Amino acid sequence: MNLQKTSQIFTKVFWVLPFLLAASLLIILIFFQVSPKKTPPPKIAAPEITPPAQITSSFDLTGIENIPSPPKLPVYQIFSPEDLTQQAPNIAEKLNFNQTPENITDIDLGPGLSYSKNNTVLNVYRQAITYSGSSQTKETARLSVDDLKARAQQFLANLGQNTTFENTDPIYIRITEHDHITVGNPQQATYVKFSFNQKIENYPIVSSNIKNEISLDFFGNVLQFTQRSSPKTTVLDSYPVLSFDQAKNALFANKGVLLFINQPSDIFVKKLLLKINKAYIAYYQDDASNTLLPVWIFGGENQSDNYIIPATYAVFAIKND
Amino acid sequence: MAKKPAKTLDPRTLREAINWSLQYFLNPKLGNRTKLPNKSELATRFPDSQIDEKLIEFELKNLLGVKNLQDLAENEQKVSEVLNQTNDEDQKENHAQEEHTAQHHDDLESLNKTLRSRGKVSAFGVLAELETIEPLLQKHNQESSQKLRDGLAPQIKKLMPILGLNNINDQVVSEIAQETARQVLEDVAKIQNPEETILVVADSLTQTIVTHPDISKQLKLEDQKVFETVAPQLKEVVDANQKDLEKAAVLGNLKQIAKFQKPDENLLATVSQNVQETVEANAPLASPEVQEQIKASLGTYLASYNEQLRSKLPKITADSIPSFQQLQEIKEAAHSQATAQISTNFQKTQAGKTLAKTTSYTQVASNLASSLGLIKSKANEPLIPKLSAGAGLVLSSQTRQTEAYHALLSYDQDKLTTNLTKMSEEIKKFKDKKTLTHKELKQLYSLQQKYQQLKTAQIFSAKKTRRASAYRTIIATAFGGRLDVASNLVWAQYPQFIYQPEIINNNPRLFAQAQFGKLGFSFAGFNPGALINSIRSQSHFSLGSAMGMNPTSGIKGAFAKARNISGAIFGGTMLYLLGLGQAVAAGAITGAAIGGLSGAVTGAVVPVAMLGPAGVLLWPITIPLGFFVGGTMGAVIGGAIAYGLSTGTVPVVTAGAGAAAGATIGGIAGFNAGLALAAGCVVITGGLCTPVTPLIVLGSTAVGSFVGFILGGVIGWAVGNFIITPVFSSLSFLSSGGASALATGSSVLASAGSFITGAGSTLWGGLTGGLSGGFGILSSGLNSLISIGSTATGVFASAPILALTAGTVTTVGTLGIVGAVTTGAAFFSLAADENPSVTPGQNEFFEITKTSDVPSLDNPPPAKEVTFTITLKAKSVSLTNVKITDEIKVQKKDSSFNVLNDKDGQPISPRPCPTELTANEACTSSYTITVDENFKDSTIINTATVKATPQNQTEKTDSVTTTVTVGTPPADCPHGWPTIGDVTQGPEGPTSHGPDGYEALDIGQGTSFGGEAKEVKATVEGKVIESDPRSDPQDQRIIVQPLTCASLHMIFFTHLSRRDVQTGDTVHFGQTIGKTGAPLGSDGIRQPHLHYQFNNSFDRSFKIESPYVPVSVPRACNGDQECHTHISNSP
Repeated sequence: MNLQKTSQIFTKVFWVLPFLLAASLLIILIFFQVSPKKTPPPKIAAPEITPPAQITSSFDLTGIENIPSPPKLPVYQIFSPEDLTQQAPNIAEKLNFNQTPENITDIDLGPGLSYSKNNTVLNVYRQAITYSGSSQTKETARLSVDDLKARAQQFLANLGQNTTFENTDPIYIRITEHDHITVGNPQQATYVKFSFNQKIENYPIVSSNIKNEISLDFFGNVLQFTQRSSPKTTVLDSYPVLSFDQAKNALFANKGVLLFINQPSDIFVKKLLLKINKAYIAYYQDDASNTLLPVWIFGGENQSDNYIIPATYAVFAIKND
Repeated sequence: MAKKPAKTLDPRTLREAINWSLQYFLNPKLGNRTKLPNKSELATRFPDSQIDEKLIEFELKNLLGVKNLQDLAENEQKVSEVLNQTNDEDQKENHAQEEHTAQHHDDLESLNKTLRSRGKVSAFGVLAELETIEPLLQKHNQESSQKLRDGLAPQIKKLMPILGLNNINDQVVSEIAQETARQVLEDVAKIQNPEETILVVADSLTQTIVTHPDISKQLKLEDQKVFETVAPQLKEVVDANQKDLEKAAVLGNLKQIAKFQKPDENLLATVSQNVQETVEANAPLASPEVQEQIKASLGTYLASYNEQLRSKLPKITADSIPSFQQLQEIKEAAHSQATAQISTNFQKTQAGKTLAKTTSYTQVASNLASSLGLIKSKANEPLIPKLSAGAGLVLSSQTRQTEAYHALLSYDQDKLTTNLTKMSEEIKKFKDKKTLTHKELKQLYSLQQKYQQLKTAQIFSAKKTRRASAYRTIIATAFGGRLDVASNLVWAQYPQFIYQPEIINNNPRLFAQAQFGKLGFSFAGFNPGALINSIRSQSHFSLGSAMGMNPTSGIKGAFAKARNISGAIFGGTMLYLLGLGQAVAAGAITGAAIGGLSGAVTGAVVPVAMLGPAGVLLWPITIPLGFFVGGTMGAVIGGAIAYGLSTGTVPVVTAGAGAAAGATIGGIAGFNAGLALAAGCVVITGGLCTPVTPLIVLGSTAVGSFVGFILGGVIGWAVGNFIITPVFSSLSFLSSGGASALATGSSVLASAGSFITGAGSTLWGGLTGGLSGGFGILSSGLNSLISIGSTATGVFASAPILALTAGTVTTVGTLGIVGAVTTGAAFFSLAADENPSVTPGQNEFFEITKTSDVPSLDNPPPAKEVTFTITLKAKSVSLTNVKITDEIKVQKKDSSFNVLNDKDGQPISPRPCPTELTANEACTSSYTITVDENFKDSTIINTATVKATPQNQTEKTDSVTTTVTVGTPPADCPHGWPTIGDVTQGPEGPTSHGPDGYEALDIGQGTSFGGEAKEVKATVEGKVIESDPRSDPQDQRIIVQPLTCASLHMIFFTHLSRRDVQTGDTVHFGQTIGKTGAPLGSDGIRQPHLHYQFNNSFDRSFKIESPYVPVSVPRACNGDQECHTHISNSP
């Protein structure tokens, strides 16, 4: 092939080239027009948590090592939140309440139904159950903690909750004339308390106004039981999460919110110096937005004023910027 | 009879073995009517039973009453009876075991077995025909009910205005009549005497009236007053219906007995309990084995009684119903024969012999029958006959009886708590019902009254531990230390089978009186008890006779009357002084009485002993002399010892004791000196002196006693002051008698002294003082007799005899004093640990009033003046060391300040007042302050505090506050009540607030958990700084920070079941912020109440008192009765 030959061929196909180019451009244009636009996830606002008390705290995180955190965590949307009041008659029947319930409203938990009988009161709210009992029967011998754990599970199973306390340390509490105090062993205790956090993807779910826990005396009577309903969820989106250091700094910058506190019955301490002894990521159940939001939890005990006051702070864990 | 081999066997196995052995015996191939199975055959058949042929033979001989097997072989009928009987019993037992759980109480099981065993009777199954009574009773009651209602209605209508109940319509009257008639016909079944019908009607009407929902709120009278008012008005109605009521009583009584025929488990348990209590009361010190045997025999007695009753009762038809009297006679006869039948054999047993040492079997069976209503009841017989006179004196007032009753009720704390819980649940069940019938309302009312009694007992024992313990100690002496028995007797006073008026059941004072009776020392004519007693005493019922109200006649009666009158005067005076805390006066009077009596006796004895009948001529001189000397010294000694004991002053006690011993020794010495003088005088005057020798001897004795009294007193004081106090103050282990003295490191006697106050000091001080004072004189009299007797018989009054006599008398006297003091210390600690909660400004010793001339002022300028006046008035005792301090605090919105001087620049504190006030004397002091612009919009809070030492008491402090508002004082300080209910604990209540704990009030909302929760309202304008669900839904908390109220920073509303506000909210006065809850108590039981607290624990800078709550609650009160603050309104 010589130059002339080459020139002749080029001349013959030259007019096709613009069409090819136009077609390619058109295809590219169509492709970009049809494919979805990739938009950044919406900002998630921090939950509006009403603290149980107005106190100011300073924090001591000495000894708490850096806790690894995932770069992103999903935020869950709670869909069709379960309305336990629909099940109230059934729950009441299981606990042998056969009276007509009274309508009640809790400042945190909303409307509900209340059943009372002898020394027990059952309140069923849309998303929570609370139960108060007393030492009605006293057997001849005190039950072991294992037996009580079994009784607690049986009580919950009766309510349709298959909860286990395998990883839960029981808390032993003695009722004195003045207060309920935590003691070191069951022999000194009046009752024992088991906590059973619900979890999502292995992260515990917390809320500000109710804990999932059950207390029994040593004769097997359930003295107290509070539980939120298990939320059904779907993933909303994933968000970058504050690292431990960032969360710690937010806590120091007073961006944390008091979640739980356990002041003595007749004492109110306004300023705490909290020695933080545990920090972890959890999901805060925000009833206002029906979401489960990741939060950093910092729990510890007061180090001043001669009172051991356990308190827990939450720092919103989503990095919005 | 063969001796029974000592083996313990299961009765059922034994019966089977007997049965099988008889079959063996009868079997032509095996026993051939000649032999029983041998040991190995029995062991094979009944392994591990240890039954052998000897035992079988023994049992068969006993059962069949045969002497040997030959007799047995010849009496086939008896053999078959035994076979049938053992089969029946097995069947019954199998049936019973199916019905009853294996957890039957041992005693009940034992009783059941007894009732079912022996084969002679079939337990309660003998009154089958009595079942026909029920329809008869129903028919009769239907007919008589209308008649009774018709009779009652007009009377009730008349009574309403008398009871202060106006505008009661006919419908209500009709309802009351109907319900009263129903209850009367029900209760009358338990009466034991026809005359009790009026009691039943009056009691029933009273209960019906006080519980009627349309009346109870209007009625201002107490139950007792209602009873007293209605009872006299019912005689006519009761007379008109008496026959019907008696018939109802007979049929009801028969029905009650018929229930024994088919006793349910509850009835069996109750009967078993009655048997148990009867045995414990009658043979408290017997061994458990003996008690078991007595119980078993009583079971047999019951069966026998029923058998006897069946045989004696005529066939009951509508036309053949025995009269009340006939029925009683039949029951008494059945009881007598059954008792005779059982007691003969029982008395031969070891248990019978043991029982016979203290009481008779007949008595025990009678007591049981009485408690079950099988014979005329002995219910309500007081415990007092069992108590010693000294204890009786202590328990002679209603207050003390009530306290003793509470002490016994609270002896078994578990029982008390269990019953409280049970009652609380029963009350709750009633309250849970939306509507209650009138009958249920009455049951609820009765339950609440009983609950209150038990609760009071619980509080009494918790708060006044030592006082309760002292009562128990007193009572224990009458029960051989078996307080459990005494306690059971008190608990058993709610009889199930005999009539007990609710007016007694529901009133702790009357109830206690029923337990402890009423001594002559208490004046009669008092309360419904008197009416009840008179009704019962007319019929020779127990209460009246036990209280000494039965008429007496003849010389014996006159003597008894005189004794009662003198006893009443003396005892009344003593009680009056005791009631006033006048231990010294009471001790002195007692001492004077005893000493004077002893001296008078001596003054009478000596002249006669020396001069023969002519000595009577000297009585006008010698008796008054002896009375005066003995009485004076007795009074001084008694008063001193009482004072020392009541105030814990050791030297005074020892001085009194020393004076007593000195008087004794001095009297003896004086007597002997007198003898010598008299002898000398006779010799010198040649016999002229003889007529006055008794005067010389007595005068010398009196002088000797007096000198000894002085010397002994001084020596005693020195011993107490310089030896006992310093030595024993270091021996703390000895001072268990008194906690108060332990704290101050005083001596053992000081401990005992401060431990013993009031009654104990008076009694024992008086007794010992009196005896001691009189001892000197009396001992001289004894000496006189001995000496003169010796002389008369030719034996010279030798020194050894005198020494022996003196030594004996002195020793006895001294030991008596020591014993008396010790006994007093052990028993009479009644007033020592009293910590009466007092209403501010009011206590048992003085009264403070604080007033201002104006309640409020407009804001200055111009400057204004306020005059405050304080009055302190001593009550019935004198006061020393009186000191009045005054404080004025001006509370403003943002600050507060104190006013120290009056308008003239004089300090307002302390207030001028004499340091000593006699009884009923008052001291008043006023001052005026200037209210200038600094007072603008403030509250002037003026608190006066009085410290004073009442006679024979330790120092008392009390205070009272008055307020004056200036302009518009800050609204940010709390006022009003946060909720409604009863205050159950004051700021220093011992249950949980404690003296140093919480400035808080507990406001209770009832006695059981789940009771209606009450709204809790904000008592201040403020901000919620905590609204915490905490762990327990019934124990939530809200804390409000007042916007500005000086040193009040926080108000706690604790134990809530609901919160209506959140942290950060602003609350306004009167706004509902939640509802009351019920926290868990230390026993795991919930008690609904609100804990309303100012500031944190241990911060008492801002008192939870008026004007920040509407009424200041007694600070140390515990329980609604002590706190006596019922709140019916909150903001």
